[in-house]
Amino acid sequence: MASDAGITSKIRVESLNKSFNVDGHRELVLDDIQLTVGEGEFVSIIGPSGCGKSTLLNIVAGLDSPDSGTVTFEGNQGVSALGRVGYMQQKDLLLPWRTVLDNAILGLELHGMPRRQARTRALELTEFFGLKGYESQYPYALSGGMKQRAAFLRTMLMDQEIVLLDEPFGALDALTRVQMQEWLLQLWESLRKTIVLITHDMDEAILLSDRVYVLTHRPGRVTMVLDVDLPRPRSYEQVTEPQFARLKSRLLEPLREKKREVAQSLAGKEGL
Amino acid sequence: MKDPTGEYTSGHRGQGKIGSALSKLRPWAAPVTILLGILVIWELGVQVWDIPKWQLPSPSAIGQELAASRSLLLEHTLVTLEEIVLGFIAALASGLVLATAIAYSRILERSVYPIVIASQTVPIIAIAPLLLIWVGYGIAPKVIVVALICFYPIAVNTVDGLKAVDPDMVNMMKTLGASRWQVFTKLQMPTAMPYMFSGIKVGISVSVIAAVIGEWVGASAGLGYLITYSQPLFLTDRVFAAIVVLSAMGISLFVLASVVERLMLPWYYTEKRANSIERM
Repeated sequence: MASDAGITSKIRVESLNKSFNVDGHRELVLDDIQLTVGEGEFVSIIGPSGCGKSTLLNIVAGLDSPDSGTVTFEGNQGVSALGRVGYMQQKDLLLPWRTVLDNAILGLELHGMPRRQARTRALELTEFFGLKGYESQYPYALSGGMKQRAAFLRTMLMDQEIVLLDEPFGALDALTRVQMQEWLLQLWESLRKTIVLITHDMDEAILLSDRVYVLTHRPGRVTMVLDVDLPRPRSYEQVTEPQFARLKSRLLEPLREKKREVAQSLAGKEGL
Repeated sequence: MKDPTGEYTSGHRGQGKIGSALSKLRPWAAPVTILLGILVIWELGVQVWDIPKWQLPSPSAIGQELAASRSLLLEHTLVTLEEIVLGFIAALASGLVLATAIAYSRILERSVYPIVIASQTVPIIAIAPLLLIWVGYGIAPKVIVVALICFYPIAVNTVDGLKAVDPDMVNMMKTLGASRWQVFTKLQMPTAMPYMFSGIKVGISVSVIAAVIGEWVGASAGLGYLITYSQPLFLTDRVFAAIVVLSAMGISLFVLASVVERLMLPWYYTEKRANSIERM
C-alpha cells in the first residue's frame, strides 16, 4: 500500500462498505475500501465493469451514502460534497436547450452569478477547451469530443479544488480519446487540481496518474495500489516506453492471479 | 375552389417561382390530391344523381353558401372562437399548475393523479347539460366544457414531461450545487416543454369539438348553435359551411400552436432535423 503520511490528504476514504438490494438479497458492492488522495494528486481507480467504481465515486461526490465507513475532505468529516466537488461523468449531460456557452456557465448560474458575468468568464476559456467559434451552437451540432470538453468546461468553471471524473472518455472513439487524454494532461499540469479518475483503460490510468488503485470484481476491493513514477510532463508517446510497459504488466498481475479464462477475457476488454 | 384546398392551389402557383418552396410543399401533394379527388367525385355524384341540396349539397353549393353567408358565419365564428380561447387558457393555466404540483409532490401524485386520469372516463357530453343548471346559459358552460376537454391532454403530457428527466442530469445538477427548485426550473421545466406542446396540440385540436358540444346543449350563438339551428330548417348547405369554418378554425389553431412551439423551442426542432438527416 502506498502511504502518503507526509502529504495533507485532500480526500480520505476509510473502511467504506456499500451493498445494494439485488433481486431481494443484499449484495456487497464495495468492500472495505481505503483510499487517500493528496493535494494536487492525480489518482485513478481501475477495475472491471460492475466492480462498483461509479458507486464509489457517487459516494465521494455526495450523491450516495455508504453503509459504513467514512469519507473525509481536508480533515472535515460528514460535510456534503455536493456543490463543493467537481464531478463529470461518461455522458456529457449537456442540456440540449442551452448553447455551449450557456451549458458551460450552468454551475456559475446556479450559484447566483449573473449570466453576463459568467459568460465573460467562460469566454476566456473556450479557446483552451477547443470550443472557440462554437459558443453559440447547441450541443447536437458538436462532435463527441467537443461535447465532452464543453462538459469539462462546465465542471472546471466551478473552480473546485477536487474534480472527480467517471470514465470521461469512455464514450469516445480511440483516436479522440488519446487526444483528450493528452489535453487533460495539459489541463491538469497547468491547474494542478486534485483529480480522481475512474477508467477501465490501463493506458489511460498509467499515462495520467500519480497512483492507480485496482479494484476487484464484485465485491469491489482494493487489490493493488500502484505508484506511477513516470516523469512529468508526460505525453502519449510514453505509452511505448519500456518503463510504461513494466507498469502495465504490474497492473495486470492481480488479474493474472484470477482464473485463467477470466483473466483472458478481462485483458481483452481492458487493453487498448 | 373556395374551401381549405383554396390555400393549397394558390400555394401551387407560387411554387413555380422558387425551387425550394416546391420541395417544401411536396409532402402536401399527396393529401391535397386525394382531397381534391374526393371533392370532384362528390361534386360529380351530386350532379349525376341529382341529389337535392337539403339532402347533400355539392362542394360548389357549400362554397356559394360560404360566400353568401360570410357575415353571419363570421359573427358566429367569433363567438365560438372566444369560447375556445377562454376555455383553452383556463385549461392551460390549471393544467400546468396541477402538473407542476403532481410532479413536485409524491403525495399529490399518489392521491390526485389517479383521480385526474379516472376523470377522463366521465363523458363530458353528459355533464354539459348539468353545467347549464349550475352556471346558466351564457358563455360560461361552453368555456367550461372546452376547458374540461383541453385540460386532460395538457396536464397528463406535462406531468410525463416533468418526470421524463434523466436521473443522471439531476445528479449532474446536484453536484453543481443546484437546489431542488433549481433542478425544477432549469432542468425539469425545459425537459417538459416539448411534451407540454404535444398536449397543447392535442388539446387545441379537440377544443373546437368541445365548443360545439357546449353550444349544442344550449346556446344562442356560435357555429355549433348555427348548425343545430340550421339543420331542422334543412339549410344543409349552411350546416356544411359551418363545418368547413370549424375545420379551418381547428387547423389554424393547430398551426398556430406549432408555430409558437417552433419559436419557443428552436433547439428541439434543429435537433430533430439534424437527427432525421443523419438517419437518411
